[in-house]
Amino acid sequence: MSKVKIGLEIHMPLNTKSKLFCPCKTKSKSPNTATCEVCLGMPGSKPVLNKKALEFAVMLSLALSCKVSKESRFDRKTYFYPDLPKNYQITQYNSPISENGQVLVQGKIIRIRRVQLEEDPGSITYPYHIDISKYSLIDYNRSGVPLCEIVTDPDFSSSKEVKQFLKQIISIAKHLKIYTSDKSFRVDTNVSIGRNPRVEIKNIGSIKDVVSAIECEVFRQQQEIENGQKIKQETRRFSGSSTMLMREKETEEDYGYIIDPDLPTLFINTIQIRKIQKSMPELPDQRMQRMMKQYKLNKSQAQAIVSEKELADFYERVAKDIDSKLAASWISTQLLKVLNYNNLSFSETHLEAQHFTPVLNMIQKGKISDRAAELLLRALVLKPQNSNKLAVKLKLLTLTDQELSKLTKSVLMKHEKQTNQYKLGDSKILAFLIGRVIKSSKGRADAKKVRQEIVKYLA
Amino acid sequence: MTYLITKVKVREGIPLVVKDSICTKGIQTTAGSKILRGFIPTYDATAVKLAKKAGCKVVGKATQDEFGFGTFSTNCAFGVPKNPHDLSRSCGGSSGGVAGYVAASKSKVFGLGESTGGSISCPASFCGVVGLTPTYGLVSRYGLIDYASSLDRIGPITRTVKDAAWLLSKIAHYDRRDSTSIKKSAEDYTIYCGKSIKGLRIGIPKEYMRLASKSVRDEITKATKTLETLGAKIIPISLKYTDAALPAYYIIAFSEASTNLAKFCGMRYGLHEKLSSNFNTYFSKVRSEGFGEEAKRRILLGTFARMAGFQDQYYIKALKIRTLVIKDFQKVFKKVDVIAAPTMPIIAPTFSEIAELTPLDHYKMDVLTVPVSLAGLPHISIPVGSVENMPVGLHLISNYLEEGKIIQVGDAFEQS
Repeated sequence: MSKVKIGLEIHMPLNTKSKLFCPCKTKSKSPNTATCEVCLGMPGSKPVLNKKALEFAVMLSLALSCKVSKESRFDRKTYFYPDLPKNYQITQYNSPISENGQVLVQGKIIRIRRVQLEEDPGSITYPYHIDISKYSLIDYNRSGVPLCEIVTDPDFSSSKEVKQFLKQIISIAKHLKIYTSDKSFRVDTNVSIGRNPRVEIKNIGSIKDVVSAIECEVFRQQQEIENGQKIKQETRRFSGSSTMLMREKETEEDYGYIIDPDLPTLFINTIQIRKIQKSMPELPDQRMQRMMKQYKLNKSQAQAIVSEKELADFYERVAKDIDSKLAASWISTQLLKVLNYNNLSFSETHLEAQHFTPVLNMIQKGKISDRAAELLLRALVLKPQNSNKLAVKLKLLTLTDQELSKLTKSVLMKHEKQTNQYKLGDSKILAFLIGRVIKSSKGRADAKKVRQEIVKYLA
Repeated sequence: MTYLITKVKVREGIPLVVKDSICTKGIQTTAGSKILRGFIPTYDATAVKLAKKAGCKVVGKATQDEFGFGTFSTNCAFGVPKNPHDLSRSCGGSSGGVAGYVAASKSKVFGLGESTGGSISCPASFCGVVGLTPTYGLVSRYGLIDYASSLDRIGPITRTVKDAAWLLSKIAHYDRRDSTSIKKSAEDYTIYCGKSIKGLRIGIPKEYMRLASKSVRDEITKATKTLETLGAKIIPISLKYTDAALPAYYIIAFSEASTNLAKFCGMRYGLHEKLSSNFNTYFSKVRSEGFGEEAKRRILLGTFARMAGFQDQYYIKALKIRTLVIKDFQKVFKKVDVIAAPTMPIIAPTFSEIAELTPLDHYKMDVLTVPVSLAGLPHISIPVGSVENMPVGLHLISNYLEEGKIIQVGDAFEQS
């Protein structure tokens, strides 16, 4: 099978207070309330660059080891669409903020081609559903929200690598505090097999969908090739279960880029870059190194924990009150296993340290078996709540001595024949009896203790 | 009167007539285009705000070529202004309504014009008034409906150089809402009036003189003689990129205009049509209906010049020529303080003469005003003589932010 090549364009909304070219707020409640003459494209209005957005883009560039351009420019990308107030988007075409970076993904270098700043268009809603709606409504609150576009080289060879990369990028952006997950990012991806032309899939809204879209598209292209069909260069979209044709290359739009004459050339000097670099918060890699030292973690544990900023924050909160190594081991293995099983990221759960720390406490004190603790975690992840009460409710706590002796007694009474055999000297039958007790305890009894209890009782 | 699209009743204050492409709060602003009929801005352009602060009152919004697209104010959706010196002749464009109104008015009135490729100088020259186009970025463009953002400038159109200097002093302020606004503290330009020009070096570009008609050239030569008698040193100079500037100007201006005009689609302001079919059909319907012929021509040509396959050949090449034109001027300004030349190659033509011209003939009329426009240099047109009883304008050009020098020379001539 020929090699699969995948490239990404990630559009990440930046967490600034105001929009990219006007003072309007980036957060708003009711439609069309965070707007002004600039983001509505009223005649006579002019854009003024938000310095914070620039600073954020430089931070992200530095975190991705990109070379920040001393001179960059904004361009106009012209196309007609109702959500685009000026019918051109202010973006960067020839001279982006930065170029030529790289990110290490599971030991593999993924090259970053460029990082650029651009404005988001407004958003369109179709009352009821796009297929039956007689009209569409436009909300310009999003118009002018700053986006950072990250463009990679086609260096990925699987959806797995893409998934890991996206998680890393999001973790980096969250550590930099330039992105919050309440604003969704959007991804365009290019997929090609061997020497065949590349196919672009536009506007995918989550990591999960990016992964499925790539898998669907690779499968589609492989099928086409196997059937002797030619792959055409085209743009497709992802429906949730398959990719669908949007337009072929012949009808690709020509955006007629020109320099935006309303915005002067952006000069960024070395001193400014250094100043931004110094102000940057701890990045995931630095945090990993620190956590390995501070909490005595091994590399794979630390790596797993910093893969998501919220998870790392959670770990550090948990580690304050409890053995940090025990916490690391449980978070990097069992918790992640449960999350993976449910196809959830940590931030999608509302799990807090107050829910999780008591579980580790129970483990430490031998009040719960590892197996039962994992069952408890499964329930907690889906619905965070008081874990002590939940453990009792689900009958997951290890039996007390009294409960154990009561249970043992009743089991032995049910197995009179085997009990007699044991009494007659058949010591092999003991294992069977232990098994019976553990089974009826639903895993809450410790084998050693059960053995002691049986021996004591039948002595 | 043929000069105003919208008239405003005003009791007191200094009357100010404003080109219709400059936004005025609560007063319809159409930029001379049907597509903006009924558009009432919610804010004043910064220049208008500052002029009002200085005591001016807006008395009307003056007719103009649609979006500034023209040399004779004949591409107007709301009336063609007639030259007050001869009603069969053009006022010039595109700020023709402002210049015509200022020239025709019985009492003193100030005007705010806008120039992209000579739209202040040309009508000032044809109507026999003063038109001052300041350094690019000196007056905020906030609230100006864009033609070509890298070229557009707001400036005064008045009866005297001193009035122009006064109005400029009031409107030339740094404005953080225009990213191309120059960070410079306000200056009183009237102090340059009444100053001697003795020893000032004035360059006469031979290319410019050659491009003017003989009768206009003779008037300009007479004017330079006057400047010489006032003590200026007249130096012959050469600006070799004069010819290349014209196509470069039009390519840049059209490319920018074609994106600036994309926003007009009948959605949030101006002309509306009955909603039907999809947005593409709707946009096309509104734009076909709302734009005039010249606007459509410029949008098409501008879009073509910036398309992927033609960019390098047109838009990018034009940007390179622009740099050469700027260098050309910078070289000359090492030798002279001010450049003096004819503003327009001819006097105001009659409407029947204009009817005979092809679009290309129209564009060629701007050959003397586009190089300074590309370079963003300050320039002023002052009336210096007449041919066939029609005014002739002298163009004075200085280096960046040296408005004082052209005001000094212009005023000295006016007082002579």
